[in-house]
Amino acid sequence: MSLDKLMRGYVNPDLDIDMRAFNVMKSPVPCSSDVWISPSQSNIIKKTKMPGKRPQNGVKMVWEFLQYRILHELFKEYGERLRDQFRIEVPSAVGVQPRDWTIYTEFAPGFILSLFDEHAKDVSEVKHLNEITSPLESSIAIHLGIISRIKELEGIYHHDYSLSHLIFDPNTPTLNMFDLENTRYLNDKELVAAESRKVYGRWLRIARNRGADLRKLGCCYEFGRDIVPKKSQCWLCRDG
Amino acid sequence: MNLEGILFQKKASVGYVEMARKVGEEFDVNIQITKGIVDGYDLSLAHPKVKD
Repeated sequence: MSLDKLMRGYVNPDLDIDMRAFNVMKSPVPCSSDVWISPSQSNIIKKTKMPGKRPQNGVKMVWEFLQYRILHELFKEYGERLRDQFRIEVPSAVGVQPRDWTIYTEFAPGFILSLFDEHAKDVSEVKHLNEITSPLESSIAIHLGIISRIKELEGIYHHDYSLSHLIFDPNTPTLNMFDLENTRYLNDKELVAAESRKVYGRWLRIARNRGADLRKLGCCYEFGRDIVPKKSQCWLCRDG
Repeated sequence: MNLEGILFQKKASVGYVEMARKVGEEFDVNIQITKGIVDGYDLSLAHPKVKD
């Protein structure tokens, strides 16, 4: 495999994608993509199609595909370090077709955070992996804190980080980050932190409208940031 | 924690840059994650608002 080969398209050889199984679903928010969903709910049920205004060479599609692969693995490792107390994920990309402006990713269940108020009216509590139950808004604040900390530790600059690119599943509970076409490493902690703070601020506005205690949410956000272990931390010392 | 546990934890401490190298190896491409470059192809135009 090489960049030239990737440009001709790649699909995980273990998978058999039948495009006839996909139905187009109009995005609920204005965006540059069409989302295709397979009704079979198999492994591959999401397709993003970029419009023709994108660079004609399609290299950017390959970049986004690689970012999905990289950050999926990286977040998986952080998940192991968090010992499965909290789930923060990036869906894995399983295929890219630059000529068709298409990326195939795993499906991330849940609600887009920007539309959460509309779709999760009846959800008030979340049961975490350790069986502790917390208010929904607090749980999301913790997950946002975890992701913000990981982004800063690793220099992950999303560039288009917003509530529209985060999906929260209250059932598992899991926070997924997606839309990585402009994501890259950036050695500027302040810029990376600023985009995370902006998203957290917008979540506070939604949570406030739902009647949440903002002081408690701040505590939850900081808790999420604090439980992410630093790479440089000695594991022997950390475990006592 | 036993030795196996320590090794596992060390193995888990792979960062963004290192993971990019690993994925690059998987697809036989050279990903310069700090510059937005793949196999020498400059993607900096894809990031017009990012300062270096």
